[in-house]
Formats: sequence, C-alpha cells, structure tokens
Amino acid sequence: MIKIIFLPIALLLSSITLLAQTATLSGTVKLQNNQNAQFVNVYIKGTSIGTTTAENGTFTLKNIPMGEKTIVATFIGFKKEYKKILFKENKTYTLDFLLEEETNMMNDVVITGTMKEMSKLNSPVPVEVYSAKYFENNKSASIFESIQNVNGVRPQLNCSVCNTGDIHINGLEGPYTMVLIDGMPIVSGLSTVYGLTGIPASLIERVEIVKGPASTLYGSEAVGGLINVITKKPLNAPLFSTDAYTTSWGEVNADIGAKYKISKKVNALVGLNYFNYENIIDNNNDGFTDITLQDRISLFNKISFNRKNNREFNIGSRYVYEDRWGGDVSWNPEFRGGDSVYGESIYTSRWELFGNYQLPTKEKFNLQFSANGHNQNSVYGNTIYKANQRIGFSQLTWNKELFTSHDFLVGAAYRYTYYDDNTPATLNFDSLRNKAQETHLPGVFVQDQVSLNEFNTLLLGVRYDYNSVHGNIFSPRINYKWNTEGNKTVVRLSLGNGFRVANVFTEDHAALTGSREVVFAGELNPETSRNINLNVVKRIYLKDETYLGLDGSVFYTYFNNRIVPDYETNPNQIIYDNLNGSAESKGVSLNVDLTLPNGLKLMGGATLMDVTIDEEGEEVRQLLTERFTAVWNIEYTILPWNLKLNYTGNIYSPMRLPLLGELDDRSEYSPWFSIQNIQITKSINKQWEIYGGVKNILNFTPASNSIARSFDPFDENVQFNAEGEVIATENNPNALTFDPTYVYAANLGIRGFVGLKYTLK
Amino acid sequence: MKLRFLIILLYLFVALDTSAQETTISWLSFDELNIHFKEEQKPILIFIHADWCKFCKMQENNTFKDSLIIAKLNQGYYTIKLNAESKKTVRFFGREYSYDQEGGFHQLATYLGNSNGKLELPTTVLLNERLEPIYRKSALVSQEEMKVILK
Repeated sequence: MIKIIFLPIALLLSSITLLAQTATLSGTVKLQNNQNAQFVNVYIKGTSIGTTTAENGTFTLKNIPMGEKTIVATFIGFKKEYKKILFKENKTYTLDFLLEEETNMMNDVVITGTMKEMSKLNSPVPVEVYSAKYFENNKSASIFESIQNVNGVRPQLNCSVCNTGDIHINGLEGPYTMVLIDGMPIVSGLSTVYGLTGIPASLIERVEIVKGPASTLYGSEAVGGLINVITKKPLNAPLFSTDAYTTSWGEVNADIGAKYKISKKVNALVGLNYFNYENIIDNNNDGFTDITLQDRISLFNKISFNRKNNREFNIGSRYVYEDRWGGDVSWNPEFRGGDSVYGESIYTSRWELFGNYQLPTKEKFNLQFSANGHNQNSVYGNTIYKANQRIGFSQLTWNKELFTSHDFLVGAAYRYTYYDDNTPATLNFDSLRNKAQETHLPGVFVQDQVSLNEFNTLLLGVRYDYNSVHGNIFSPRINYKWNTEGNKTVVRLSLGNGFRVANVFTEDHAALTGSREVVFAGELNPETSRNINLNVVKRIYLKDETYLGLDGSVFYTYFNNRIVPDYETNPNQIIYDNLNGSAESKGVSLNVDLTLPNGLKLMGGATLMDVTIDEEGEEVRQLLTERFTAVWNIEYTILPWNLKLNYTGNIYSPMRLPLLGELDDRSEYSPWFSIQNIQITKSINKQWEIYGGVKNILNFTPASNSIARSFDPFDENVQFNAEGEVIATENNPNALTFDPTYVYAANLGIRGFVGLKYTLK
Repeated sequence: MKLRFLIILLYLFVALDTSAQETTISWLSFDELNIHFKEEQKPILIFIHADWCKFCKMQENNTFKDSLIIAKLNQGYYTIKLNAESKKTVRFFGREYSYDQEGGFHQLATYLGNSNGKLELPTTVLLNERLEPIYRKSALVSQEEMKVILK
C-alpha cells in the first residue's frame, strides 16, 4: 500500500530534478552520397536517450544529463560516427553528422557454416558446379587428379612411363573436352595432354562442368563437354594460407597463397604451388618406375582493379615449370635421348596471361583476352620431340536485356595458334623445310535467352567460325529448360553439333612414345558430330532437414567422321585415318546427393554408357572406354570434435585395351577396378587444420606385365619379317615389341598421407 | 451455362489463391519495404540466398513453410528475400546497392552477409525496428532455431 502511494511521488520528484539539470541537443545527419537520411539512429552512449531522424535528417534529443557524453549516429549501410560533447545545464547544443558508406557490416552476432559443394546453375545449359571444398574431400596435387571424383569424368593416363593423360567425359577422349580457365580457352592443343597437371588445386574457387554440347560461347570443339576452372578472386581469398601434405611414397605438395593491396583500388592475389616426387619405386618388378618422377613449380598472380560503377577489370598470369621423367630405374639425365638406358623425360615451360576488361560504356561490353606460350622439350627413349606453341585469344561480348524477357549476348572472337615442332607435322612438303603451323580462327556468335515465363526458358545460339585451314564452321545450339516452382523439378534439353580438327601430335600422346611408327592414311578431314542431351533434376526437401537431390541424364552423340588411332592393324604402327562409317556415344547417368540432419552426407553418381565405332558395317567398342563407372563421397561430420571423415572412391568396369597382336599374352580387357580413399580432417581452430588418411586402400595397381617387353625397350631382340610384322621367336614367344600404351590406371599403390593447412582470413 | 461454370471456376481459383497466400511468407520487394517502413517501423528479416544453393532451398522449404513461423513473420516483421547474385540495383535505406562484378555477389548481400571476408549462403539477417542488426547466421536456420529467434 505504501509503495503504491510513494512510487508516483518519487517519479515526479526525480523528473523535476532531471528537468532542472538537463540539456537539449539537435542537429542534422547527412549522408555522404547525398541521399535521404531518414531513420538514422542517434543516441547517447550508455543511456537510453535516443531517437531516429526525421525525413529531412533532423533530430532532437532532450533531457540529456550533465557531463561529457558520447553521441552516436548509426545507420545501416554506413559507418558508425561518434562525437563528444560536454553538456552543461539547460543549454541547447547543435551537432551535425556526415555518414560514410561502409562496405561490410561489422557485426559480432556471427555463426558461420558452409554449405555449397556441388550444385547446378540456374541456366538452361546443364552446368554442374563443384566448389573447391568438394575437391578437398580427397586432397590431390592437381586438377587432373581431383576430377576423378566427378561422375562421368575420368582422367585417363595415356602412357605408363611418363604418366601424362587427358580427361574423358562420358567416354569421349580429351580432345573433345574443352578446358577453360576463367572462361577462356587457355588449356588447348599441346597443353590438353601436358598442361592439366600444372593447375594446382589450391587456385581453384570452383569448377563448372558441362557434359555434352556447351553454349555457343565456347565454340564448337567441345563435343564431349567443358571444364571451366574458375580461379580465386583476390577479394574472396584469405589474407594468407598454406597447405602442405606428404605421402608415405614421398610425394610432397605445398601451396602458399597471399593477398595484398597494391594501392587503395588495386587488390592482388599471389599463389605458389610446388609438387615433388623423387622416389624410384618399382613394386611390380618390371624394371621401370611405377610412377613418373616429377618436380613442378607453378606461380600464379591475379590483380583486380576497383573501378567506377563496379566495372570489372582483372589480369591473371601463371607460370609453370615441370621436369618429369620415368623409365628404366637405372636411368639418369646422362642417358637422356640415348639408346642405352630407356627413359622418357619431359621439360615443360609454360606461361599464361589472361584478363577481363569491362568497357567504360553505359552498355555492357566485356573484353576478354589471353595469351599463352607452351614450350616442351621431351625425349621418349631416343625419339626427340620438341614443340613450341603460342596461342592468342580475344573476345568482345555485348550483353543486352530487351523487352524484359530477352537476354541477348552478341560477341566476336579471334584465336590465333602458332605451332612448331621437330616432326613431319610441321614440314612443308614442297621445300622439305620446317614450316610452323599458323591457324587463324575468327568467329561471331549470337545468343538469346528467352524467359518465356516463370517456368520455361529457351536459349538459342548460333556461332560462325572461319578456320584458316578448314574453312567455314557453323554451329547452332538449342537449350530448353522447364522448371516447377522453386526449381524442385527441372528438365533441360540440349541440342548441338560439333566440329573439330584433329591434331594428332598435340593430342595423342601415344603418337609420340616412339614405340610405334605414325602413319597417316590420307589427309585427315575435320570431325563433325551431333549431340542431344536430356537432363532431369529433382530436389526433395523432407520435413526433418533431409535433402535428397537426384540428377539424371541421357546423352547421345553421333559422329559422321572421327579420327580414331588404329593400333590393331599393325602392332608397330599407329594409323590415323578418316572413319569410313560412323561412331556413336550413348548412355545414361544419375547423380544422387543426400544430406541428413545428423551430419551424414552422401554424394554419388553412376554412368552407364556405350561408345562404339561402326566402320564398314562392323561395330566395335572404343578402346580404353568403360561401360560402367561410379563415384562416391560419403562424409560424416562429428561436430563436437570438429572432425570430418570422408570416404571417397570410384569404380570402373572392364575396358578394351590395345594389344599388339593375336599372340599378345596381356589381357584384352582391364579388370573391374576401384580406387578408394579415406581422409580425416580435424579443425583445431579457425586457422589450423590437420588432415590425413589412406589413399588407394584396396591397393589396386594394374597388371605387372602392362609394359610389354620392358626389358628390351629399344626392340633390340625383336625380329621382323619382310612386311614389318613381328616374328615370334624363342625369346619373344608372343611376338611383342616394347609398348607402354597399354594403360588404364596409375600404378600408384596404397599410401598413407598427412597434411597441415593454415588460413589467416 | 458455360459462362457460369467459368465464373465459378475462376472464383474457386481466386479463393484457392488467397488461401494459398496465408500459408506463405509475404516477401516484400525493396520498393515495398521502403514504403511500408515509413508508415510503420517493424523489424526486418532478410534472407540471402542463391539459385544454386541447396541449403537455401532447404530453409525455404522447411523453415519458411512452417505455419507458426509464417504467422509470426507476416505479423510482426517485414521479410525480404535477396538473391546474392542478383544483377538488379536496389535502394535500401539511404543507399543504392548493385551487383559487384569483382566479388561476384550483390553489394547488399556482401554488406549484410560477409563474415570473415566471405559470404556463405544461406545467410539470415535480422534487423530491429531501429535497423540495428540483432542476429545473423551464415548457415541453415532450422525451424526450432527460427522459433527461438522470433520469440
């Protein structure tokens, strides 16, 4: 009772005393960008006195107690401003604020989690996106190895001695795959075989993969598909990072990355990758190195400029030097190029420069440019192959949205290729002198993405290229996308054609190993093909935060002409000829992505396919092509321990392999084989991460007799008849010659590995 | 006869449509937000997402489909959905934000969502009626969590 009476009286008294000793503050808040400053918070620190500004930016604070006080002005999008005033009794003060824009809201209420690993872009073209995180589930030194965890994509080794390889997509070989860096055709020609191991995994922000015909933006070469490696942006990169691991075989991979500011508006990123393997291992006792010895350094730099209106301008550069060799275990560089001890040794030096500049115009024009040089000095036993390639590329595009539903992209591109080597491929037959090959490839393209309505999108494209050697190339493309609300079900249909000029020496490593003679049966015509691809994506969200994604595809490619190396007619030759018939690649694939709320993630995929060549009515299976393949990644996170477990793997069905003749005792088909890995990653804190595991836990290696006659690499004890065919003799009962082209998997056995990663944001 | 049938059908559709509205969150456009906020200051929930981000879709399909959450958000909050890769320039309280070529994200998404120099999706940001950030999470916000936040 007493309380109830006294409370109002006490309040009254205190307000009277406050009134007597308070000051008033008024003022205006202005924004640096001269925009309206309504709703700006103005308050006195440590008190509950505060207000928000009126429409004209003015504010008034009353009843301010005496003493020195801090006045704060805060507004979303702007930097906090503090000002101090010594308030005295009954006075009125004025104070103005000018707020500056802020680029990043500083906020303590942050809980981070990361979630994007594989996804599909919203475009009518079925683009699969794999983040760098996905590849971290099975640490690898280069993109070439990383990509083995993607369904339908198989890195194929072409040489069991020097371990170079290419990437097969849906059964189509490397030359049908276009590898781009930041959307530019940098990895082509020579480097499709030799350059892929030089792209360190640490530079990758994400990898976009298109299986089947890609958009007209990328030309007509990529019938099999497209791999676009998007490199890290200086803005998103950590301040400093290192990541290094070593395996029980002695492989060492180290990455260092750092970003720095050149000036207020210029940011840069620098990255260094070093890979070394200097351990001669011969577990299969064939007298040859199981795995090629490698010493590789790659330096990467990317500079981006902050420009007005967010226009883009960045320049990237990369330099790679690699020294690799494989062969007889007693080989050393003294034997290079000689015929006493067999060794394959390749020195590669490669530089790249690429950039993107958005023109300072109101319309959206983008200029892309790149140049690269690739120098290769290699010996295969006593066969020497020296090649030099330079490619210049430039592309100007104009992007325009019209009538709200049309998104036009018009562009012109120009590619120049210079190629020279010491083989007859660059021989001028009239003068019998070496003549470097130069190709000019100008092209124009138009693309229109029509949003018919919320659920239907149509992408139409045409491209016309003129090849200075082969003439006109015309490639149309149609992509159609239908989706339900929220993209829970998406159907995509793609139609396109392909056109490709085969370059045997730069593309086919087997042509260089020196173990076989290369024969051209007439002039090779360009290859032409047609392709259709149907893709269905279904996303299922269950109540308890379980996610199930299904992604299925049906693909079919028909080739009118295909240049297929013929290993079988003569075991001592590789015959390249136009195909008198047709070739087909068809199949189905399914990807499954399951995420459970308990921390278990399952991603996997399987592809069933059939690649056949029909020549003069006879159908044969393409060599080195599996019929069934599957990949998986099972991940389990134990949150309280900051521990992540990954079990990754792949499995391949038998492939038909190139034999040297009827008497060849090697198996005509590879066995079913599977490479499986386990990795454990432990985050110690925000900066340190330790990881380790076992690679190839099943210890699968190819048959030990894979290299035919490894004891006689120069064919000194092989006898030939008058037709050049091998005769079966007592010490060569199977009529073989030295042959390292019978290869389907790396000869890498079970290995333990351990690594450490440090990131400073 | 036919016309009457059509009218009934149309009426049914409209009826269905309005009933459907009650079961979804009424996301505002930025222009709408600017207008409504002037009339009445309410807390704002901003959901930053991208087309390819499956956890964003999970949040949309689970958390934002819960009837209690929908009711709470529609009553007491303004809700904004921001596509982190949107190319549209938007006006949001005294400032214009547009797509940032270099970062690959919309400036407002970067501004609100960047933590540790990185934007992770989905990001959910809650501003109080004085536009002060009171909550931010760069990961999926489950139904349970959202119910706790909105209490």
